[in-house]
Amino acid sequence: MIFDVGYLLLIAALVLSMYGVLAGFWGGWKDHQRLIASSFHTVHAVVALVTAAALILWYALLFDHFEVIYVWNHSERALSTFYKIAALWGGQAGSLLFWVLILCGFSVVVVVQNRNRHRYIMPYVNGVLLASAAFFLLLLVAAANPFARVAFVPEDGQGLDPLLQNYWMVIHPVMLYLGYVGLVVPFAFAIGALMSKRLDNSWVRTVRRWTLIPWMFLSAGILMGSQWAYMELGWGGYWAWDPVENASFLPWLTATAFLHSIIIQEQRGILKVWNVVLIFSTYFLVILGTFTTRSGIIESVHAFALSDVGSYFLVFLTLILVGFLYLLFTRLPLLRDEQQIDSVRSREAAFLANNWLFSGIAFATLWGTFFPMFSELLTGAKISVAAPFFNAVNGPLFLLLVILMGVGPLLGWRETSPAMMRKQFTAPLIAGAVIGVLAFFWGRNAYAAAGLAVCAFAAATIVQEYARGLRARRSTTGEGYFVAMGNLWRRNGRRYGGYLVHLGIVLMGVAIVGNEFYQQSTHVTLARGESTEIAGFRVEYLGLESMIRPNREEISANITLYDANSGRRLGEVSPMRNVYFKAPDRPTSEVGLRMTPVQDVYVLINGWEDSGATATFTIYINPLTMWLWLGGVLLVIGTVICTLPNPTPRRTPVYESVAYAAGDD
Amino acid sequence: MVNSDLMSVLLPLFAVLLAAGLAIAWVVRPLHSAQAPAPPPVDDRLAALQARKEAVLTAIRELDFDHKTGKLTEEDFARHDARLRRQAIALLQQIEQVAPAASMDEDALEAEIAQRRKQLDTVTDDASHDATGSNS
Repeated sequence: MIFDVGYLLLIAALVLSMYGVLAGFWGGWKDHQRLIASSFHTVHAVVALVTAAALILWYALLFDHFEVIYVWNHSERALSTFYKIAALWGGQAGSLLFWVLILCGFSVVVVVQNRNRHRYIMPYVNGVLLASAAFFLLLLVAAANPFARVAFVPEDGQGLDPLLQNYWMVIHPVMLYLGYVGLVVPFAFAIGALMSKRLDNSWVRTVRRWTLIPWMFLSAGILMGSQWAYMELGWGGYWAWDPVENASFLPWLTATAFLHSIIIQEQRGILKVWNVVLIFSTYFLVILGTFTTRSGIIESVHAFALSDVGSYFLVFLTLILVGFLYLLFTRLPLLRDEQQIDSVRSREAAFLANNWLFSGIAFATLWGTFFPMFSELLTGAKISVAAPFFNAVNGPLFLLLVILMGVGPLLGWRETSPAMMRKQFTAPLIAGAVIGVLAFFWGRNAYAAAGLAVCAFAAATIVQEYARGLRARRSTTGEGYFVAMGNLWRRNGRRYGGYLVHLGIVLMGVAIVGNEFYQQSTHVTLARGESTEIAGFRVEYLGLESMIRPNREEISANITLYDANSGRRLGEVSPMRNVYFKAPDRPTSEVGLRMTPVQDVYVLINGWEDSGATATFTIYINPLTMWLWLGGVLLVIGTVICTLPNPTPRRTPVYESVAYAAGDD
Repeated sequence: MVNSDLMSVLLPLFAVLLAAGLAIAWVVRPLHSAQAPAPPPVDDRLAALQARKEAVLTAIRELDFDHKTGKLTEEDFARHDARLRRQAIALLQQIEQVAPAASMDEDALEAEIAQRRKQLDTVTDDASHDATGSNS
């Protein structure tokens, strides 16, 4: 059977990847060119084998081969093709295969791009990439075979988890995995640099871009997950500090810190130890996050896949921790800083402070996430810390981070004189103060006003930076505003793309302040034709409608929104309940949403009686939420601009070859 | 019936053997080739020096940009700029010792600094002329 082929291909890929690890490490150590070349070839071979295995599982899903247990458990005949394709990552074994598939995709790009670069580092990079692939292939072969079959052919499958049958839940894991798995690449380069003892700036340059791209995917994935939670889980918010949310957030925090501190290393030759620790932490947290999701060790709404892969993860995590610590301590003499920070009034000092804050947030989040497990281990009782803990600890730290986000760009490298600081800070501080005062008088909430003031300060610094950059460029070149803006992005994308990312984060901060401090809600039961008022809106319930879809019944409430003061009709929303035929005891909610820049009207149907004669609703007014998603879009655009290659000056062939070898990309 | 069962076993086996065989052949190919693959032509020390030079050039560019956008006083700019230029020249001399063909002379370095500044955006050509004067 073809599914046996799939399983055997995975075994072949596992064996070859284990060989490739040895070939890469041994070849790199002995500078054995044949073995090194073989390790490159091994990456290609493993990619081909894993891709073939994934295609076979997709074939099983698309053509309803329910004798494959994975297909039986995660698909059904009535499932749309879209969700059948997505079912590959809807369950444990499939998602592990998807993990390896993405890793293979990244690996092949890395080896093709760097075949003739980083001569001494690349063999180890191959080794690390293949070791990561081998671990996940081992899981697939030994503990989570996606091609396992039953002795009979079931007539139909049990269907995809109803919660996963949502557009965002299809794209969100893909983005998250692209981010997670992509972060293996910088780790591989860091280990390669440590093992080969080539710790100069050349690997740093390559790794920066290889961190930015996965970071962008991870950011987009986290935001899409938030959008899914907002629309699907129906509790009025988008972030609950759920363990699996935290699992994706933790590597994001350390990767973000790394993206800042690597600039200092590149510019000043300092923080070398810190940077390798950060990139290791990111990789460790990626594996830990996958472990958290896959092992079910911490209860979570997301932990839909429980199995016995946990022990494998624990062994792997221990191995990489011990291996990294050994490497780090043996290479410490090579990681001495070339310079030191000259002044606290410098950009590098601001970046360093930013790193402390990111690390503090990561530690608090890690502690809060795993506290239930520790408490159970030590006391026998599982004690969970909930959102208030995370908000209380991380909220102020995030506020400080946004302040630093404003401060950093205003400082120059090395040292900024007090006079220059006054010149730089005056306008942004005034903007922050004005917005803070206005917000306080409008909302009468000091915390919210402080939050908005800080966001305004950071936004003003970005606007000021853009204004000065544009002015300087226009005065030099005489370009129009649009051309000058385009050239700022094209020629200094790293700086100006970074500012856009910062602006995206500021917009998210504004949305978070709006939701945290100004959210209103009500819980009401309405008869048909009856209405209720909240935050200047009148919400009128008109009745229920039912519609049969191939695999579910959709029951939606018709609701009309009016301006409570003027009586003007604003539109309609339709909160919905989906009852899946394969899982009638697990209905899902789809919120009715009217989104505007000022606020969202978010309506959830809780239940009904007498065929909809009365229905119970929870209504939230979520101020400024739209800015969260717009901020996310800006973040992605900014990151893309950051990764654009700079137009480089023409070079002599010799110079070019040397720069090429040095990793100047 | 027996044939059909046999085929259902043999066909997948054949497919796997073929795929695995091709993969293994590709993997071991470099081990058996008549001539060992040539390593990428890289002088390790030279590459490190070039990387450091690139970092210093980037630092000069960033410093200049900070100056143009009002983050540095003239004195601070002149002091840091001179220091970075000295570093760049020292690196260039080291590169010249390691690989004369790969190095550029000071004029070429200044030209590159000027070009990078120009490409960045805000920079005028004055900087490179001044710098050439100060370093020559």
